[in-house]
Amino acid sequence: MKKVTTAALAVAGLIGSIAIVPSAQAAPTEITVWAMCSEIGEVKAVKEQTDAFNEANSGSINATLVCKADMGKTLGATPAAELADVFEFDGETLAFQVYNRKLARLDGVVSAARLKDQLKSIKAQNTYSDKHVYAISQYEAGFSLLGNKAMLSAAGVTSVPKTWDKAWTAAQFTDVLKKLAAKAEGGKALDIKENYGIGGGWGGFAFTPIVASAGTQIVGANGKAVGALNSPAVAKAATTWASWKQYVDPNADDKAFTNKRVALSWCGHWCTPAYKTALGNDLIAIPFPDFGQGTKSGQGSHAWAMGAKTTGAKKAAAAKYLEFITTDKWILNTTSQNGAVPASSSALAKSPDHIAGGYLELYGKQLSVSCGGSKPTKACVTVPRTVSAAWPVINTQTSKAFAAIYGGANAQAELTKAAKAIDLDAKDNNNYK
Amino acid sequence: MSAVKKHKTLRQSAHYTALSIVTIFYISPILYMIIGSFKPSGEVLGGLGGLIPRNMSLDNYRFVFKFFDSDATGHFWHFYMTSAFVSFMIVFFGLIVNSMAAYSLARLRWRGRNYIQTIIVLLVILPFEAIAVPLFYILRDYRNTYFVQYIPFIASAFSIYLFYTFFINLPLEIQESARLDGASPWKIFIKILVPMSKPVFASVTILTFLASWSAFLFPVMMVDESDVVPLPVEMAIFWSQPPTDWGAIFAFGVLLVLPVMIVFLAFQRWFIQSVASSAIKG
Amino acid sequence: MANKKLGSDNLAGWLFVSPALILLTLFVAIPFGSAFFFSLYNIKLNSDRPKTWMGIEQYRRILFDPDLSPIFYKSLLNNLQFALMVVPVQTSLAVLLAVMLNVKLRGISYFRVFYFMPVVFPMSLVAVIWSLLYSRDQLGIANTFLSKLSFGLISPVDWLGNPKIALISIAILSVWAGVGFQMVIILAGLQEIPSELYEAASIDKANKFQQFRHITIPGLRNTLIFVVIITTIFSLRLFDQVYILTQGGPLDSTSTVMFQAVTSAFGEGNVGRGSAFTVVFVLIIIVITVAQRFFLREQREVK
Repeated sequence: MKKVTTAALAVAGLIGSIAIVPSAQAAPTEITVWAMCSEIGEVKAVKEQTDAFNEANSGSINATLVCKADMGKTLGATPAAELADVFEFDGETLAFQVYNRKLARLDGVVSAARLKDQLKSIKAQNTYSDKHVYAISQYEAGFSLLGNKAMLSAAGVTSVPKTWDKAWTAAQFTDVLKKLAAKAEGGKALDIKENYGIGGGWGGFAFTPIVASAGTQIVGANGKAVGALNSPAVAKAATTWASWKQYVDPNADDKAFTNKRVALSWCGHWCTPAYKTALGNDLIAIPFPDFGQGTKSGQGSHAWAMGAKTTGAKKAAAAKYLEFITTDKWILNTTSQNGAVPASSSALAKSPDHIAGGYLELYGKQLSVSCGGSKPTKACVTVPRTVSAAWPVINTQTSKAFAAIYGGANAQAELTKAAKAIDLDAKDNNNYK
Repeated sequence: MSAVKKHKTLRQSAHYTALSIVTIFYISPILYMIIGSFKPSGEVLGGLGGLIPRNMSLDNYRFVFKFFDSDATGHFWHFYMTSAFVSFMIVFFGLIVNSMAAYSLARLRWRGRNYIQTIIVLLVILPFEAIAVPLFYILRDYRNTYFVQYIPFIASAFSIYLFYTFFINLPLEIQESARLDGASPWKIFIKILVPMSKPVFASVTILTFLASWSAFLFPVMMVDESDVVPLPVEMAIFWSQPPTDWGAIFAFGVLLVLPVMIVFLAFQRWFIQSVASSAIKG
Repeated sequence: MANKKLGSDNLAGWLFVSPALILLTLFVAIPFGSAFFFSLYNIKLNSDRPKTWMGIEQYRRILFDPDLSPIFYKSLLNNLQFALMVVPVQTSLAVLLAVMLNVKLRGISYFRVFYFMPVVFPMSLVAVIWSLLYSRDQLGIANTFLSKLSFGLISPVDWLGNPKIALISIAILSVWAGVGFQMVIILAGLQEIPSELYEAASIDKANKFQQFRHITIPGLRNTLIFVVIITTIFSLRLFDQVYILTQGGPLDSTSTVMFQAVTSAFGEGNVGRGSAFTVVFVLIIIVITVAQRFFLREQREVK
């Protein structure tokens, strides 16, 4: 009797497990995707690509998209085990995230060819000091002055530089601002996105290239900010920059440039879609003014990474998602909506706005002569934000310093204060070893 | 009409006029928001012109609902639900827990009561900010949940204090005679004390609701996911996302305050009375 | 007070108070104690690396370090300046409005609603609206009002960008948002004053100002004391508006102790430093509250 029961149970078990197995295969792998959703155009793009990915992988993978208001704070407050499988983040904080063990290695996981095709500056951004790659990007930042051609010529500004080697000097730029302000109804010439809040992080991206343009990095070769960030040349440059405040529109409604109150705007690629719609062919890209060591601009933008604790089927699915969104088609879908520079050479070649003759040609040209991690010279343009886990602190301190200087504080004092704070933080954390 | 009456009517009209002018000045920021919510974004800013209704439409409202249309960005009605749910939990459980504690302190005799009374009084002075940071750090693994937004706030020393002052001032006789008849403390609480305490229950409800609906400091640290984020935090998020679309932001603001406004206008007598009476008693 | 014949309620007493007590212990007492503990370490929010011992170094930095302590003292000074601006202005304005509304005219109670409205607005919304009002060019309504009122004499003010003015601007919007709350309390207090006093005074030929000084203000004494105490406590907790509008700037002119605590812990991930700020903050609050209650208590006894 017992033998029969056991046999019956065994057969039932066998049949049951065969019945179960197909349905196990039918359940798709669930992965979570966190996106930064900071720009309306980017929200649309990331929704489109996720929907397309789910459709292409319907039945086997299902990606759930979540928008995060402040990805930096979210990553900071979330332990690695609870991170999403795939997430978008500020690429310049890569060293910081890897130091805090939040990111998974991508080399060996994501297609090598795809990683190889990324732009040189992107590869530099996404590679940690241990020589492994921890992120992959859809786009790179484009950053320069944006100008209104018609208003410039109406004000009598004749020589407008189109290439980076012909950038205005700071003195020439002051002149340009005077001419423009004289002609403008509100007496303003420039918009620097004051409404973003210089002290809240905008300063660390938008105005730290001035430091490089004055001839030095933020943190010197000896690992100290004191002696580099607060050198007299930088203080002088920052003071000149702050003196332009009289020509700056406070931009409370974020429409100073599009409503033609000002002829120049200090904004990056994310402004270009709206600007192009408003100005059409009058929109031109102009290199930033030169404070001594040549014009300098910023680089580095959002990147995509995999959660450090993602394993197994989810890891494979996550890798698939990353490969999917870095195909030319989906890179261009995003960059056509946010104006950024495509991060892969193949996609870049297909982007009409960014190649020769396109109105954003300057972006690509600037990036091709990146200063990398070394001391800035007259021959390089884009400067990566300090590649170190200390970047968030450096960002906060430099932003605060620039905000204070803009408000009228003594540049030398503020820069010294910031430099000391940066060095103290490095000491507290053992130089982030 | 007689000279005296004429004088009085003139005085009254002057009073009304003065008051009306001051009031319009005072609420102009609110008017600015309401009118601006119907104007195209490019025209919202513009000095006093911002107060002039012109080119009004519902476009901004349509935009807000269209923007929050997916699980990724969150649905607008969901923000309401979150704020309403969290507030409800805090108020409902708070009424139960805090009134019970106050009853115990006010009417029951037990060892250690005096110590607990002192502790409660000390806690009334302690502002939430004193524990916001450590509480955030301790609960950081529970970010982006509903319960982290209400459970820490159910017990409130201030509410206990309000109940306590009210209970102390209630006449003792009914309770004493019920005790002599052998009624249990629980029965006395439910059957006698609570029915006599409608005013303080109303006050505590309204004050707790106001505080929890506007909560910002703690939620801003604990919540960033759109399906659990409360309205005030989402307002700040929406406002800080470039490009700044003021028409949409104002529309969002109007939608944010509309329910509270309606509730407030309907029950304004209660609102104002509870605020006032809690102060007088305290 | 209690009748011993009724017997002791030990069990019931503890049972009734325990839900609240457990919650308060878990979510108030323990965090409060933890603040001390955390402040002795270098705890980084962002990483799972172990914390390192710092002892009282955090406190030394906040209170004595030449580079790091100025921000603390500036924040504390700002808190005090803010309280000194807001408490008298908001209270006087509330009394003025309450007096204007305390007349027996038809429909007067509807005006009450308008002044109380800002109180039901979340502060984050108030801050967002005022951020636009305070735009530093002529397009900002605050500047438009100012120029109209001064007949064009005063040029546009940089409300939130001028270090000398920023705190005042925040004070103005805080007063605007809070006056309704106080006004309602004072109005109730006014209505408790017997009207016979006023009638007797007018028979004695006392004018409105004299009546105000000798009947209204004394009659409001306890109400005013209450209002002053709670407004002071609220103003020391200043956070929401600063976080949204100025992030402590410009030049730290709007930084508050609470703002430093939260940005150290949550913004920079330095939980140890944020906790140390919290501890110092609590001590300050206790000192100020006790001092206030002591000085104002004397008058309170006169009921």
